[in-house]
Amino acid sequence: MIFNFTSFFNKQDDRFLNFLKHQAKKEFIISLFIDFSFIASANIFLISIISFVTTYSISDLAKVFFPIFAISMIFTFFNKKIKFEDIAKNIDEKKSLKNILSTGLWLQNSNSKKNKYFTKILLEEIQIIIADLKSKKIEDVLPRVFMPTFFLIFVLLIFFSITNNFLKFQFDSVKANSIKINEIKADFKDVINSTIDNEMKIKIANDLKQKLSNQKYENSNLISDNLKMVEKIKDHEIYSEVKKLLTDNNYDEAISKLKESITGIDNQNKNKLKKRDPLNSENKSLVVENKNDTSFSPSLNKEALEDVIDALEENKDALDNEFEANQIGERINEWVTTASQTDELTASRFGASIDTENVMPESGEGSSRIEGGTMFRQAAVAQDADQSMNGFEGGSSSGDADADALEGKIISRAYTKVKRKNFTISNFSDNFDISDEWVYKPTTERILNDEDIKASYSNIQNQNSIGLHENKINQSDSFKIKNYFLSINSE
Amino acid sequence: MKQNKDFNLDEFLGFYDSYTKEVSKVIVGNIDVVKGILICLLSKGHVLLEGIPGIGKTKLVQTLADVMSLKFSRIQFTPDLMPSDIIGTTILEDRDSGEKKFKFNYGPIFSNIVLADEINRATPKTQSSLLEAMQENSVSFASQTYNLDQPFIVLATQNPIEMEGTYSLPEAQMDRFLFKLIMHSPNEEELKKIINITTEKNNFSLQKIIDKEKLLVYRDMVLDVLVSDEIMNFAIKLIVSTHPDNKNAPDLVKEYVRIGSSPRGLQSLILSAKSNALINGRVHVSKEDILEIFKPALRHRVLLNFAAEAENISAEMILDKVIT
Repeated sequence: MIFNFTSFFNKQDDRFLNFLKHQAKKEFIISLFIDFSFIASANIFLISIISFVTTYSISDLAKVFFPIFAISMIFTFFNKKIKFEDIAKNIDEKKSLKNILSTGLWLQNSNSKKNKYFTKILLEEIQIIIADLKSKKIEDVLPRVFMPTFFLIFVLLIFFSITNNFLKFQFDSVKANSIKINEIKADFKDVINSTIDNEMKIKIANDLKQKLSNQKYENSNLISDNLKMVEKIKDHEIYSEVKKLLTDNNYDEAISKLKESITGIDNQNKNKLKKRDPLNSENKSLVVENKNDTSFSPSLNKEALEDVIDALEENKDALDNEFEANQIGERINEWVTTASQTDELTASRFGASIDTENVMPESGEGSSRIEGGTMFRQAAVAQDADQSMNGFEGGSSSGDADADALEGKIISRAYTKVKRKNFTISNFSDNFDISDEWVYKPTTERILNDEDIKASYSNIQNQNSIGLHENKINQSDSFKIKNYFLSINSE
Repeated sequence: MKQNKDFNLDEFLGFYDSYTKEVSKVIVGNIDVVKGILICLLSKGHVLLEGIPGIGKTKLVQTLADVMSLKFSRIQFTPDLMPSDIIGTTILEDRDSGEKKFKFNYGPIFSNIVLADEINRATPKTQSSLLEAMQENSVSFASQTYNLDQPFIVLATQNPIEMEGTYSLPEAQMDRFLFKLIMHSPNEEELKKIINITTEKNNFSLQKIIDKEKLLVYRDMVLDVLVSDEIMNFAIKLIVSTHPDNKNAPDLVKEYVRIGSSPRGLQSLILSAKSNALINGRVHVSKEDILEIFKPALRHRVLLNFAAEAENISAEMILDKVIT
């Protein structure tokens, strides 16, 4: 005998069977709850895993998994069968009844005739047991107990917060993106400061670049999703205006316009209500009618406007994230290019080992400690300068700018430009010479370069004549300055 | 449908109480053995009693015969014992009329309770003479079949330590015993009681607690005890688990068992579980009833291989594993 969803309202003729049916009903509900929790947990787990390993957002996955969850639950409900035999067996075990109920049930279903005396004794005993068990709680009767309530609530909270409140998750995803971008920035800083070999540094930097592009992809998805929200106010008069402002990337203005509209709707609503006498029953009915009228549905409009404002504010944050991601991306690109060329040159010219710190822009201090391979050093810096000067993108030569960027400050190209302009030089004379400290071996190429440096120095002197008389540069920073000028004149 | 109006569960339980009380006047301890013998009697089975010499095997059987109004006979098995010494033989009888005729002289097996003392001392030929009697409850001799009086129970004893000059019981005969009961050595307190009973003057007398007819009624009612499908399946699962070729059998069984329990083992298990349920005051068999008699019913039916013998693995250990 089984209990399923069709047995809920069927009554058994026999008292013993009725008792088992009653227990089966309880078991049915309990196991349904357990199945619900299990399916919900499985869904949450899958959503978490998929969102972790792919670029799908949690809200998108929740939209897919919610129907799966619903169908699973419906399927479970209609297919759940509780066997009376199992119920009898469970109660026997739980209450140490020495298989009396299962034997009683077997006796009920058995077609063959049994000893009447024994049957009578058994059924009498069962009646006594039923009377005793009826007064007990289900937990005492059935071995299966409810899951701890707090755990069930926890699972439900997680599930519903994912499925029904996905806007909140979108907001969270903006924050998460921002956090991830900062993490990438910090990782990059760690990489260039680390003592691992250059090749490994490049590899890690490339990985970071990949991570960054994933983040950018998620960010742009979010932005486009949020922009779709604007369609919510398509019928509103303000729609075209907001759309135009958004086309010009003027988010602040668009948000303030939307806020104004909300204030307008509030005022309009207040005025209408003021005009009516609340005690007049005729007016009351009007209010009811107006509630059903969509043309007079300020709350509906207001809600849509508020949703759009939320979406646009999120987009503002997302755009900031994107800007920052671009900045970091540029930095990594430049660094990877320089480092790669450094490696190539090392291999082709001298094969000498070089301290990677010398080639990389050192955040903050920008020191240049060269142990060998001066010519290589010059060539490497020259390549760096190519990039720096072409398009004025701020290459490795702007060590301070790098440091600032890596400290978390937003560095624009214009900022880098200004920093370069403010780079003041003093105490440099015409007979300025390159120190032997960092020259490994003067070659013909080197001598030619020295000539170039001197020539370029005189040009700079003409352009920054005021700066040349200022005593602001320490002698210890002379290497940085040398590098800078070498890079400019390497062409 | 069979319905016996003479049966009353309370009366039966009263009989069991009296039985244990009377037997315990003579036999100290070994309650499970005392209960096991009654289960065999009620289940139409036979008992193989094993224990060290002087532990009270023969005394227990004698006491059983004393408390029941049943015909008792004892056969001391020796190497020169012949089958005819057990079954009986035909003799040429001179009648008063001068006529001579062959007459069957009934052997000691024609009793209700037969004590086959030190059964493993007789030759296999003599041991086999018990086979038909134990299984068919009849004896064939010279193309004549003689039915044994009911109830009929063989209580065979054997000594596990003396191997010299003994003949181990063949598997076929072992399988015919419903239970193999092992009598354990008494503890200090029990020893003290034994000494008091046996070395002092005692004025107790054993009372007859049941007659043959009543015992037959009880034996009949045992067959009506209810066994649900769940319990039946449980018993079958246990039996199948003793088979080394069964994939669900425990590793210990697969490794050390040569031959598992026969279908007769399952019959014994269910039948003795029914008797046990009745003794425990129930009209239906529970898993506890099965587990309680599992080892006595199967320990002599599970045959171990050489590896088990070499590694000192006993049937008890195997059965313990099967239960868990």
